[in-house]
Amino acid sequence: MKARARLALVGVAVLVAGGAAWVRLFAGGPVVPGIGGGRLRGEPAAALPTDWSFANREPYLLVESDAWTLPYSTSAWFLAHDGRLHLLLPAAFGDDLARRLADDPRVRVAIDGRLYDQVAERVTGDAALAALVAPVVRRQFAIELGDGASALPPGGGHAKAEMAMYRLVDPPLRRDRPPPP
Amino acid sequence: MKRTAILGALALATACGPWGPQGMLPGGPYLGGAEASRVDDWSFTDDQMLIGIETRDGWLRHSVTILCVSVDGRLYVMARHAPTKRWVRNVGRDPRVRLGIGGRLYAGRAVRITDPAEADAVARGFLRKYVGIDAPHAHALFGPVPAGDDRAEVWAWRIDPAEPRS
Repeated sequence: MKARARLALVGVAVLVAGGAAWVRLFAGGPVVPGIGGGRLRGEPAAALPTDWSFANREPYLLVESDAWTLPYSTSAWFLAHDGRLHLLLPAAFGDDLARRLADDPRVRVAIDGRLYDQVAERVTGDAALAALVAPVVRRQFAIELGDGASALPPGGGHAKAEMAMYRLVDPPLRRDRPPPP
Repeated sequence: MKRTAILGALALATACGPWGPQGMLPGGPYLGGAEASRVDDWSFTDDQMLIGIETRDGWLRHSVTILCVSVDGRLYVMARHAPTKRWVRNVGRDPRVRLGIGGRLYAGRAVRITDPAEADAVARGFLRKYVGIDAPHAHALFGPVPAGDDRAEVWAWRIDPAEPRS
């Protein structure tokens, strides 16, 4: 009886480990909320869009980072604003992607099954961040900011959520590839 | 052996785990009973970034981590991309919920907000709490999203006492 129970436990452990490995390596992207996936599946895009507004119809952006040993992908909050994609990474969701971006800002994003290479630039500075507040709040939380909005004094928002914002820009042209026509 | 298998299957069937949400991972039922006393002022939740909500789907329990806002002592919870969320569908069928806040459990009833003025107040409370912005003229766009608009479909609920007021 004990041997059978042990065998069953080992079987369950193997199943769980196998499932985790599949999710992390072979699933083609994140499949479980809160747990990263592996390399994104899709067709490499022939060209990079000059205006990413079309992406806004997606609720989340699939993002892959190859900063560390294993490729890591997640579905992230995002916003296409002023023609460029912006990643929104609330600290409450963990900092797995943000830590990778600090080590290597190159990312791959998947939209409609197409893969695009981009480079993440952290948005800093009060003016740049302030310009994003109204569009972010509208898209993510369905709130029109309205006139007369002002920042509360430090600590004024009881649970003021930290959210890192990144603008995605095109990677520099590789020297071994001809420039696009 | 059979008993272990049945218990394991039951634990798995209730959701992803038997102990409420684990961080951003959904879970099953909270262990333990709900807070007995009724809460008349929920402003103590202002310091809570995230809370857990346990919803009912028949005899199953499904719990997730969500945002909350207190306005004039009342508690509100919100969902982005609401129609796609399992907990939202559950609340639509059975409004009884339990909230996990700061290690304690509170029973309540989720009532969907339809009054625009109440929704605007929730939106302003949300901006104060989570974004650190005072926006006196903020306007909530909660509810169905018209075609061509790319905002998230946000729904909000007021958490009323578990038993209707007599």
